[in-house]
Amino acid sequence: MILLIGAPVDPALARLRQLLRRTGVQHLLLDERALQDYAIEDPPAGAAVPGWTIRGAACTGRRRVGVVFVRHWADVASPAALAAEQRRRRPLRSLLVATSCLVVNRPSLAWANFCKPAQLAALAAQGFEVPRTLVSNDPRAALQFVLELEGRVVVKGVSSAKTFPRVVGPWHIQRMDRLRQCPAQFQELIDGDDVRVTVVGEHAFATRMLAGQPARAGPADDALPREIVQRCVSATRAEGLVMSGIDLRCDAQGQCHALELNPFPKWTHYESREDPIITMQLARYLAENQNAPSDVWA
Amino acid sequence: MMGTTLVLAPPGDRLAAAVCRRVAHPIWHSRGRLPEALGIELDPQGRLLGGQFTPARARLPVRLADLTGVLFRPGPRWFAGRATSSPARRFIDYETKATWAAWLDAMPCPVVNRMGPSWFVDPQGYRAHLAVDLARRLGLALHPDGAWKTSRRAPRARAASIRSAYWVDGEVLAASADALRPSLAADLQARAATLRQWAAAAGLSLVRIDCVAADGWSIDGVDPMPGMADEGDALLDVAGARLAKAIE
Repeated sequence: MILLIGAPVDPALARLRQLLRRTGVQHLLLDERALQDYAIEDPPAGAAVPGWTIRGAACTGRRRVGVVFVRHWADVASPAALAAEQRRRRPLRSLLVATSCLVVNRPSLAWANFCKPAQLAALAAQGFEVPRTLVSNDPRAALQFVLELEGRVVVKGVSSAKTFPRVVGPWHIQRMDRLRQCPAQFQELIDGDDVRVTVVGEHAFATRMLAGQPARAGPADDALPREIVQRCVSATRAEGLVMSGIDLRCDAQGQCHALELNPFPKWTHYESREDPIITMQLARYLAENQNAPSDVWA
Repeated sequence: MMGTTLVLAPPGDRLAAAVCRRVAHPIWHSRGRLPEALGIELDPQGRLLGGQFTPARARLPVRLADLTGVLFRPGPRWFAGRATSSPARRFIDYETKATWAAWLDAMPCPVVNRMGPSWFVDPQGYRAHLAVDLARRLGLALHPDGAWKTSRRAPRARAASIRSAYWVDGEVLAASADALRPSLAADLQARAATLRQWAAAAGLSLVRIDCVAADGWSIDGVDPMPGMADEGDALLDVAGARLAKAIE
């Protein structure tokens, strides 16, 4: 049994459910938008067989879960609502941290993306070239960096908060003093095409971006040098993840720089609805990697 | 040039004071949030090219290459609670934490503790992950109502059954209240090799481990940023000396 955790309105989760249904793979959904409808019971103290029992909606607590797939759904507007939501999620969180079940991806291992420079260093440790990078709240250091790279610099956020990378221009130079209130990340501008590599277990798929739009996804081995593909798979595994979306920028000679690794990629953006090869591989992976004995019942 | 030891801790932190007494050239930076200059620069191989840290009231930044080590004990108000009133402030809070995380990650010298990114954004999840990992490695159970899960202090009735010990750079020290009944510390010291592996994998040199005795130990929680305000002078002195040796 595959336990899916997330919201049915999430397009990625919806496509995965549709495919699992079509292929007859048993699965259940824990709808995170209605956590109050579920009871997640911890293992009783001293239980001979420790385990979590989930009851509510379609979850009866009687079916053994072999693998968990999670894409957290966050749709809260205010800090107060966020705090309440976090309280509701506590039992689910302790389950996801502590279960011996395979979790794709375990949220407690998926924070590296929060600190992009640390993640760049981790990607470099796997053999990737990365853009020269400065993180600072010092306007003088930032200006020096821009000067050294003759203006070929992109500015973007340091954390996983949504930002839009921009080439540094006069507008930014005039406002460098604002760095004192909030640090930023400055990166050498790398020429080339953007390629998203989506890793699922040992498989990888490449989607080239053309004028900002994804082209057709295909096996990464067909689009990229073998060693680059292998690095993507290794970097994902090194983070303790099964699935990732790695952003590369590749030049005409096939040299690729790694820009970041997304632990919860929205893979449906990088495959076509008519040929959902990433979703198919994910469904296959989940169906084939159900471990027993499990400690989650739903 | 003699190396400098950087201590990042709020005023009144007794462990930081104990460390500073033992090192030759400490700089104690006690102001929260952003120093005047904080940053790192990475080359295309992800190696540290340079970095900045300007302590409060200092005219010049500390050269990271001159640092022998860092004690990182930010105060409770250094990061939390300031940025919840508006999206802009939340964004600044997030970016600031990520910058600290990047700075710690890139430090070329020993850091106590080199916190992973998740400590900054999901400290409860981080502690839970540490506790689960430690329990698996030691073959111990997790207490079903433990702080690892609830993030709350144990109710008074249960708190009396909790024993605490500190892992301090390779040595287990009993918490002051448990010094006269040191069985947890002794049991953990007997498993020092496993503890060492766990601590190294997590980047921790200082951590408090709380356990409950019931048919053997079960882990109640793990605190990678223990306050230690209520600990006795003797314990702080020993812990301070060990950490000073690690970062000087």
